[in-house]
Amino acid sequence: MTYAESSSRRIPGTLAAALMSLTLIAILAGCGPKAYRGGPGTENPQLDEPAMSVTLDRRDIEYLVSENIKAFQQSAVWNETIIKADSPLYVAIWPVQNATTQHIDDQMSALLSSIETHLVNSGRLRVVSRERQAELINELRLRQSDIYDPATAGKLGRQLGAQYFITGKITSVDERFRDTHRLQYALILQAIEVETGLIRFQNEAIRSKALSH
Amino acid sequence: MDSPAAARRCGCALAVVAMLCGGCATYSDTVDKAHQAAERGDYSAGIHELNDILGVEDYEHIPDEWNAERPLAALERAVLLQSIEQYKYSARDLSAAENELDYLDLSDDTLGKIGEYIYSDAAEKYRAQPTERLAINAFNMLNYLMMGDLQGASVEARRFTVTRDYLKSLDRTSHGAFGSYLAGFVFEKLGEPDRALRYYEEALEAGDIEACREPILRLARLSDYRGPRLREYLSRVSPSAESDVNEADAEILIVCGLGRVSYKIPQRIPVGAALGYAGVTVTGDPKILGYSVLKVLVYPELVPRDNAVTSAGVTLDGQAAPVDLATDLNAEIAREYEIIKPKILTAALTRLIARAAAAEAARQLPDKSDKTARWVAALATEAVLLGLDKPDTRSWTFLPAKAYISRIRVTPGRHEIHINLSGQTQETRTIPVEIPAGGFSVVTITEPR
Repeated sequence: MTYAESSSRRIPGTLAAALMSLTLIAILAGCGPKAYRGGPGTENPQLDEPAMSVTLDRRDIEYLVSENIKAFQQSAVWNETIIKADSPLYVAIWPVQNATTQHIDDQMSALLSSIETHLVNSGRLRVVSRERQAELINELRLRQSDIYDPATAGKLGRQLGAQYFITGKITSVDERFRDTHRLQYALILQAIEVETGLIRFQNEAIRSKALSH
Repeated sequence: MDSPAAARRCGCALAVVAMLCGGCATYSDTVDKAHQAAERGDYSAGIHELNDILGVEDYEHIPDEWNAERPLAALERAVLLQSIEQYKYSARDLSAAENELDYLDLSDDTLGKIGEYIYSDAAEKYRAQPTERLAINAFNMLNYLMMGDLQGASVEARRFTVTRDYLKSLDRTSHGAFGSYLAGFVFEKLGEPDRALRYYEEALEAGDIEACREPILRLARLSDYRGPRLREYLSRVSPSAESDVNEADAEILIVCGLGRVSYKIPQRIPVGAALGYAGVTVTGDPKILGYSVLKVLVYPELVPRDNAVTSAGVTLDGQAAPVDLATDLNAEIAREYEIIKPKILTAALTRLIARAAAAEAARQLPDKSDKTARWVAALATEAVLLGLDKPDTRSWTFLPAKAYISRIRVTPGRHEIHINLSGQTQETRTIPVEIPAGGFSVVTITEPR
């Protein structure tokens, strides 16, 4: 076989190297981790739909908050007092107590931010900065048991100039049976009048999560 | 096999395989280096060994993927991290491991699931004993208390309760007094006297703990809760001068986790002794064992650790303070193990019978084979199966053997606590604390050696 004959039967060296590289890349791309973009406006709009654990995800938080805000906006205090006020009332958003069996510190931050967003965007309230609240707690060197005490919250609310403070608790009923683990979460939201300490609004929204093996 | 020579070659090959498999490392082999480091008091070196099992570079990282052994390695590392005061990472390891572990169900085991798990040929997720399971949340409460995070500690307290209730539903309740006491402390400090009293009442299952007296008497004035054990306790215990506390007083809670619990090793036992232990629950015909040459079986046996540190004393400002042994975790582990041991031996005997039957089948060679070749083949078959019969000897080996607590009311301000560790070694740790009026401080020493 001459060189001319052999070269017509062989794939040129550079092309062979390129094909091998492409093949290798394709194989490696198939083997390694793959990143996805998801949510509205993406090729995977359903990415946030499935539950991945028994803790709260963003979808759960948004549901719990929006159900409570909806109820708040249908309540007597909203329609009789807040809407009819001469100027937007000041409200402080107090830490929501985690009374669950899950470490959900990040979720609690997301929850408080979501409440803040809803209230600010309602245009009916002026929301006191949570950073200012945190500074005041530090200044007064409050104990953790005091933070969730309504009497303390009322005192602090007055110092912050708020007429109402929004607070609450997230609870869970945690059960296991054979290979199933279920948590029933409840977000209880309250609006408390600073001057009187009276609860002017209270609502509960629930969401369950379960894991089966 | 057509010829005696072929049968002998096969038998020799199988025997070599058995020898090699007899050298296969168990989990205890791989953790041994960490224990050797801990025994020298070098917990950081122990953490380094465990990082290898976890497949990470340092203790700031946890595995991306969890195999059968990594959750248990995370538990081991968590104890060492607590020993070097890395409470945040210890908490992370305990929580991560908790999500990956299964429970060992000690209740009626008619389906032989315990034996299947102990002698599984495939590496299975570790199944924690009840005491181990409760200890995860108890030690994690301690981590959060040391970080000053009462909310985090309360989450662990609730998880502790859920686990305790679940184990109770399986008809096995572990001691858990140490965890119950910490949970009571957490809810007391969060201003929930009812819940705190319920937990302190649970802690009384360990007997009268001096550290319970003052808080129970004080909280009983704030709460109407009276469970049967609490009612009986209050009828017996009279208030002392200390129970008239000044609200401005401060408090110190001292918790010591000392030594390490017993660990498992593969142990050989004659079949006769095993039959005596297992009783009549063996599956298969034991008579076939008469043909078996190898009349021993291998099972996991619990052996005690030679711990350097076994007890603690506390002195505050020159005065000795009472110290309670809240939970003897080692005794609880041993008690639970005695419940499952007959089931393990039953499973081992059942496997032995199956091995004997396989060997008997190997003995059924074509008529042209000589008797010697058939016996060699049978012997080799039994040897291979014995070599492959590695029982699961995994356990949480760094779990402290004993949990001590001491609780002292003090005037606000600066104090010096001396914790005197004793056992094979004697040493004193001095820990300064500064506590505001009405405040508290938690001091912990974890010495898993």
